[in-house]
Amino acid sequence: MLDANKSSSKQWASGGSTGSLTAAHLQKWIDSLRLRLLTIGRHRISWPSIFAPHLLPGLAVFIGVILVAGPFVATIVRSLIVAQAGSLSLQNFTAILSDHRFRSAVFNTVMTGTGATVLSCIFGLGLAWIVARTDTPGRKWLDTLNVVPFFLSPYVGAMSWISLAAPNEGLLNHLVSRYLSGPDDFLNIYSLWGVTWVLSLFYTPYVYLLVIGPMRRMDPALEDAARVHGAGLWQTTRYITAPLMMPALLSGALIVFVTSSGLFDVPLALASPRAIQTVPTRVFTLVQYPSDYGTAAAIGVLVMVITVMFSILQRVYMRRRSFVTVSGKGYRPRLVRLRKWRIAALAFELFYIVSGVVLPMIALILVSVSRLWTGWPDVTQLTFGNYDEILFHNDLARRAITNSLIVAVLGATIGVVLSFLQSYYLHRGNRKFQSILDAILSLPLGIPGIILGLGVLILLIRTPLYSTLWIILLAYVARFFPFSMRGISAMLLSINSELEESARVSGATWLQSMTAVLLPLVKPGVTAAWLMLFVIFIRELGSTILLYAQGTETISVAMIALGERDFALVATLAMVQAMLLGAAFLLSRWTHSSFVED
Amino acid sequence: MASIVATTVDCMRAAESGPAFVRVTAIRKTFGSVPALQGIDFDVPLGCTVSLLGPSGCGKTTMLRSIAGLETPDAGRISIGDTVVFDSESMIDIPSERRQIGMVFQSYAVWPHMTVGQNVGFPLKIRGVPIREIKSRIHDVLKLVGLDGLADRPATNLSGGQQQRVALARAIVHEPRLVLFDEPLSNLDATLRQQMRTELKLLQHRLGFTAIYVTHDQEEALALSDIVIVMNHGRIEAMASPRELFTNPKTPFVAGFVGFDNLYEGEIAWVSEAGAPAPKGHTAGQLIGVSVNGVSLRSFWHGNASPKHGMAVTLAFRSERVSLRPSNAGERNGPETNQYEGIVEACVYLGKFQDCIVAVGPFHMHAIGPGDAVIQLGDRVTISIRPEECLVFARDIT
Repeated sequence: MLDANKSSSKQWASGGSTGSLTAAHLQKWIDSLRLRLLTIGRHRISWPSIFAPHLLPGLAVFIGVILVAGPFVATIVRSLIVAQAGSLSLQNFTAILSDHRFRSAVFNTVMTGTGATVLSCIFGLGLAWIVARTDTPGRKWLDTLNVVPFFLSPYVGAMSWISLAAPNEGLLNHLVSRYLSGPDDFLNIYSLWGVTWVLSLFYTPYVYLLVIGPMRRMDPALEDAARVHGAGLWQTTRYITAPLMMPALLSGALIVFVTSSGLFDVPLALASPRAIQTVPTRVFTLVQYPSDYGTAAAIGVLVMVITVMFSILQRVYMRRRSFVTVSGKGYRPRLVRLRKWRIAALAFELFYIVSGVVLPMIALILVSVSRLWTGWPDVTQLTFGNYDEILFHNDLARRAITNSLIVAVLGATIGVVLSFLQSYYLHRGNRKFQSILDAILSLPLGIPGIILGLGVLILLIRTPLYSTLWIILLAYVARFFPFSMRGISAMLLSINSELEESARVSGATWLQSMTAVLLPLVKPGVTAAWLMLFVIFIRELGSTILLYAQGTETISVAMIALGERDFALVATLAMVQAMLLGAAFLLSRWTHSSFVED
Repeated sequence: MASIVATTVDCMRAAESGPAFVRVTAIRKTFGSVPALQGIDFDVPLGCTVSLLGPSGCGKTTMLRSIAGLETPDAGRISIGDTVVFDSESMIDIPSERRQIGMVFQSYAVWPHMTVGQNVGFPLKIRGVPIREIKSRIHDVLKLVGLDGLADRPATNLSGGQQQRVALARAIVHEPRLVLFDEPLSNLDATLRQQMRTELKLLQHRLGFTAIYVTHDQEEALALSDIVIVMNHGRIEAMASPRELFTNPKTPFVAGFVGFDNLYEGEIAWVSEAGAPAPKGHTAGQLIGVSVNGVSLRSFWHGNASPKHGMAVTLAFRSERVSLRPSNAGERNGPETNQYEGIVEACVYLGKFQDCIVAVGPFHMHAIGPGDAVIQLGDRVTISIRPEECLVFARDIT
């Protein structure tokens, strides 16, 4: 005790400021580095054994920080440059704030984002409750079907809903006018309602996956305790179950709001044809010729700031309010007997699955096998010519499929390797800067693809990378590696580090302990992360749309290009994309790898 | 592996002056601004078991992990056998895998993706031992730990006790000279813990490896080790044989940790001029009186400095050494015994005995009463404690 006092008083006397503290830390760090360097000479310890545990993960973190910081900084700098004057000012910001087109785009974005959040929370929570906590028949199948929209591309979803609900030519509108003698523009998908609807269908699995985990793993004793102490079913739900589910639900709501507001695909397909703009499509318009990078960058900065604020909010909230509802015992929560309400539950399930999966797929298939789509299936128009065209003749489509596969496979591999090493650095290595690095590396999580694409474009437009496939690959990895890092980190955290340490103590080098122990153990998490990145990259549009060039189109870009000429070809290409995504989906079920952090 | 059966006496003697197998010198380690180890020195003689005992956060696990090479101390020196494995002065830091040790982790760290045999054979496989030999040694060592025939079982299909045995087998299969144990029994239930404790002791005697054992359980430390090192706040509080530690702790902290549950601060009220004859089995000391809140207790002084009137001291005794009986029992001890009348404030019946709190004036004294006596709340009781059972420690006034 006395000694501690003495030494601390000495420290205060010698420097007394935080400066001396950091200097002391630096000195310590240099000492430890010197220790490692000198050890090599003396004991003929091989370089890899000293540097591999620090160098590779450290390098991955460094790359990650560059990937995050590059586009961010480029956007901020560009937003401050005023084109005509060539000087630095806030003029771009004042310009957008007084621009009525931007203001209406913000209004539209907030409306669709809020609507999609509310709807997908209702869907997600309801579906999760039905599957996890009731005795509705076929829950296992429903569980699988509920997440299928997660694997579909939102752009394809929007396109298929055009075939279903476009005024005058949509299948559903035809149904209404034929059999109910209603108007054939009963449903109008080209509207903010349409955007909200498709976004909701697409984002429901996010909420579903986030909520069903805690719902499944909740210790039934928590509810039993409420019942024993006099609460009825309603009161138990009100005071126990609902508050326990709240962190997951709110977290899901925040994620849905941020990501659905930033999604470019759906408003492009459904709102742009009626000249309705949201923030992402506004950015797209600004970058088109005659491009106004300054204004676009200013919007980018605003979006980044808001997104980062939201993700900080979510982090802080989750840190404060994440409950441990798991007791570690292996029983399942008690199921609620629905009795006659089972029909209602099943109907709710079917409504979602039919709207989110069945109808869109039917529409796509019908359109893709029709010579000419008139809004109603016609046997005489049946053809497989579209598939022949897309797969064997159309250069654009064939190129796009190849490009997408290259980018998805390469990007997923690079992303997974990077994020594994980063997770290792953050959770196994140096813990000094862990939280700040984790925060930096998580920055791109909610950033809309088109905003990040804009940042990459501004950063690299004058380099040889521009207009190659590599710039797209770079943007994909930069935007999405945090997703896989999340999953792999969770996996790594669940693995006791004593498992690797015992390998070291048993005589294994760092590399041996990695290959013999850690990698086999994280394999499920890594597989899941790879498949997730693959799925995202196959369907990604927002970060591609500003970066592609002649020859580097991806499937999603090719669909937009084809959409100007032939809707049937778009549907066919969409089917090809859906099949690729379906393959990834089956693979994920087959390998039992879960996309959610368990 | 040569069988060296070291006795506790040998170990104590060797630790004080003889050759050391593991020598830890002036180890310091700070986590951020939290000092975890503040200059630790100790020796472990060949073939002996040393326990690092202390409350959680005292630095015992950090010390063990530093010896294993899983933690890098800021300063100091560690040698195992003839090899210096860590020395901050001459910049030596040999990685774990080259320190030739075995280790049993608190979580067992049995690899879930391997079978029992693969787990146990791992240290041999890493060392390039031929497969045939690996097989036979896995067989032998599994038999030794009582898991014969389970080599092909997936490691996840095992009970806690079996996993513990797998971890143990893995730690000794390559015949390391030093085996480290990080609270290996803390995850087992009480019965299994006692059984494993005995088995571990037998195994250590049979194989003769040197062992360092981290625990927060005093019974475990006493049962398993030749030397117990008590740690607190990153320092060594005491280093003694189990018997010495149990009967004659050197500081109030150690006393509290090994079961002296009555600890009172007081001062010396009087010092007997004549040296009192020491009771059998106790070292001679000067008879003194200690006043605690006005209640006077007789005790013996063993400190270095001579006792003075008014000196601040801490007095400690065990509740099980307090004799407790109903007040009307009539029998009285001689004047040399500390004897008081008290009122029972709380009593927990535990079958063989009952654990009571008795109010003696301002005191609340822990006392263990016989299981067969009927003791009720509010009863007047007589409690007595012999002076030689009361330890007195000089207390620094800061």
